[in-house]
Amino acid sequence: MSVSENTTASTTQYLPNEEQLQKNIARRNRQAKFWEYVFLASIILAIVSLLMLFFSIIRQTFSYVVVYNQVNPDTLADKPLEELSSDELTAVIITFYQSDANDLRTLVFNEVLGLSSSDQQAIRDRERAKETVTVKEIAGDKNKEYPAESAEKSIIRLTVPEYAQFIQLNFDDDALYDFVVEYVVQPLIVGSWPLDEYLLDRDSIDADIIQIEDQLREINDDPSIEVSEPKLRSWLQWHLIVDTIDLSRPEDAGLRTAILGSLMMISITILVALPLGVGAAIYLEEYAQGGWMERLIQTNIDNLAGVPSIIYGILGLALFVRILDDITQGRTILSAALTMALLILPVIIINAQEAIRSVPDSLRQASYGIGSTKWQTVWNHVLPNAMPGILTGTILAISRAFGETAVLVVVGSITRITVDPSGPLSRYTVLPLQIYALITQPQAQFRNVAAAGILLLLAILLSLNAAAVILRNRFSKRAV
Amino acid sequence: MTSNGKYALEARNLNIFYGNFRAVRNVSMQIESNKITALIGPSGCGKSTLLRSFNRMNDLVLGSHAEGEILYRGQNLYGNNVDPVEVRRRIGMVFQKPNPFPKSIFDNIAYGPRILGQRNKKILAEIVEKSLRQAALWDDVKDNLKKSGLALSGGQQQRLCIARTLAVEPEIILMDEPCSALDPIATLRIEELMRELKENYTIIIVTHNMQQAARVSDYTAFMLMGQERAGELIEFNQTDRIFTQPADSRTEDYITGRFG
Repeated sequence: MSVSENTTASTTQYLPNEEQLQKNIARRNRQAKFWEYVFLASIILAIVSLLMLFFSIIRQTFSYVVVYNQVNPDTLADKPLEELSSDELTAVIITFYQSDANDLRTLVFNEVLGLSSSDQQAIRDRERAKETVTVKEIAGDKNKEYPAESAEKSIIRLTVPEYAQFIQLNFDDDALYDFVVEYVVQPLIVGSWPLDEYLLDRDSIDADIIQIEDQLREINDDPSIEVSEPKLRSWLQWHLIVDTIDLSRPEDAGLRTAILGSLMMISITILVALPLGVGAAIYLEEYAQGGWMERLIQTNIDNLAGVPSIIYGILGLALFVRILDDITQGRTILSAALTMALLILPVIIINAQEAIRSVPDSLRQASYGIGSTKWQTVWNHVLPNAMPGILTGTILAISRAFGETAVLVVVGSITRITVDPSGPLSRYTVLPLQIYALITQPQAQFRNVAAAGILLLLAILLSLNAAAVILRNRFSKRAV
Repeated sequence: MTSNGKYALEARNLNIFYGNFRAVRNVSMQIESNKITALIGPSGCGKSTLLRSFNRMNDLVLGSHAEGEILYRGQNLYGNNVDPVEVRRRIGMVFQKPNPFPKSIFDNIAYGPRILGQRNKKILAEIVEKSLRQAALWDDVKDNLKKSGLALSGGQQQRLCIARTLAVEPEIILMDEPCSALDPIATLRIEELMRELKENYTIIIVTHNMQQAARVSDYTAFMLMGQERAGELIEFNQTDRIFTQPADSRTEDYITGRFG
């Protein structure tokens, strides 16, 4: 059973007697086992919460939807839409937009010619000044095909068939079909249920669908209205990245502006905070002589890391948005990035200090011992060896800044912006705020868009971190 | 060339302080050129502190300062117009634990000449070879100079560190217990190397190992913690005299193993 049975027990009076020792060892082992289970349980708990988090996002990103076609495709032609030729599809467009030349023109401007709103305004202004802006000029400018017989006509005064022909010339069959579906049939997602609800609770969804159909029939006063069968829809689509926000149609809402805003802000933040933070850390670790001033600064930095972000927001509002208005132009990406840099500066400094401190002193002595100056020692030995740790801190800081919302609410991010940020001095929105705006929309489908947006946010964050990890590994490899 | 001729270094009434604490009291000694001088004594007697004051490595310790003089070529190393960076190039140092840079063997040695401004690759390669030969490491590593210095064995690492010191052409080499982290065979090789090096360099070595002091050194200084725990120089003489007929009874007690 134990070692002591073979040997003659020879404990002195100072230690507990043999019997007690045996009891103790069992108790001590039980204790060890207990804590082992506690630690295991906390790991499991952490993993379970993470999985639940992912599940709650996934179930909203992939949902079952029912679609209601505002125009029944069966009424448009005597064949199913997919079987129509290019000419027949064009005929459908002409019939549908017969009395709405203006609407069709807008579609041509946006979808075919890709004219920006300022371009369109310019055309209208010139026409108002009695100038003729020809089809040839605009389409030629955009490298688009145009019907030869209308080349010299004014681009805003074409007839419906002419606009339709314009569309047909520039779109292949598939694109034309998509155009008809989107702008003639105009499908609308009228119901959306999370993945698990559909799989587990079909009955209540069927009841919901009947209810939705009833409502639609009542509103449109048309008893024949039917919605499509529920089908799986992934809300994580390409257009989420390339389109701008549309708070009226969830299926068209994109997050391009927010993604660009976030990336631009985080780049400036890192450019400002990393050199400043590492510089401060180098000073505090390598140069500071430990005077009361430096101790005061150190204490402040340690405490600043825990200050709630909203307070940094108020600071940023006062300092960057108001006082430094001349430089930052008010509520711009620059103001936000500088505020964010302040927010993550303590995190970067503390981690960099930790990393610098962990560089063995023997390395510094080796460097000094052959006649290096302080700067040569710091630059050639301390920094390269501290780099992996510094980058770890930077990863933490980026993650914090990327997901930060409160600060940006205060320093003035806007959620309904559809114009891409053009530089540090433009208005902007960021992903977390845009997601918040989506969730607060009344239409339930926006929650699906928000979930897809969250996945996107996570994906971008992970790729940023992966980049930093790769960089870190390159440094650690070089250090060995 | 030198105003103090056969002496490479001369300490005069040297006191070294850490803050208010006096670590070394009133040390005066003359270190002869091209000889090996050993500093021995029990732990805490200030021998490492004394050694580190010879190339002003102690300056790196916050709150340390020295009073008195250390003369090198007639100039006080603690004088106002002396740059410690230059001092450390001329008076190199090898540490207790081998501390190669986490770089290749080549870069470890070329680093010193590089920071001094030597950029010519051909010359750097020559320096590397010469230094490695002097440190008796060339034959071991000549085929893989690109290998990391940390991949070498402990004894080889220490010889690499010695080669690195030699590469900046110092006059004096300080060794702070250079063999305490090495096995007996590696220790013997370092000792052999020291005997070769003293042809061209002056060596001062701190050691806990009295046999080592007896084996390699020409002069031995015995230090002891005195009043207020400050280290004092008890006796300084030729090594065979210290070990055969010490003048001070405390020296005798120490070397015969009666204490410490």
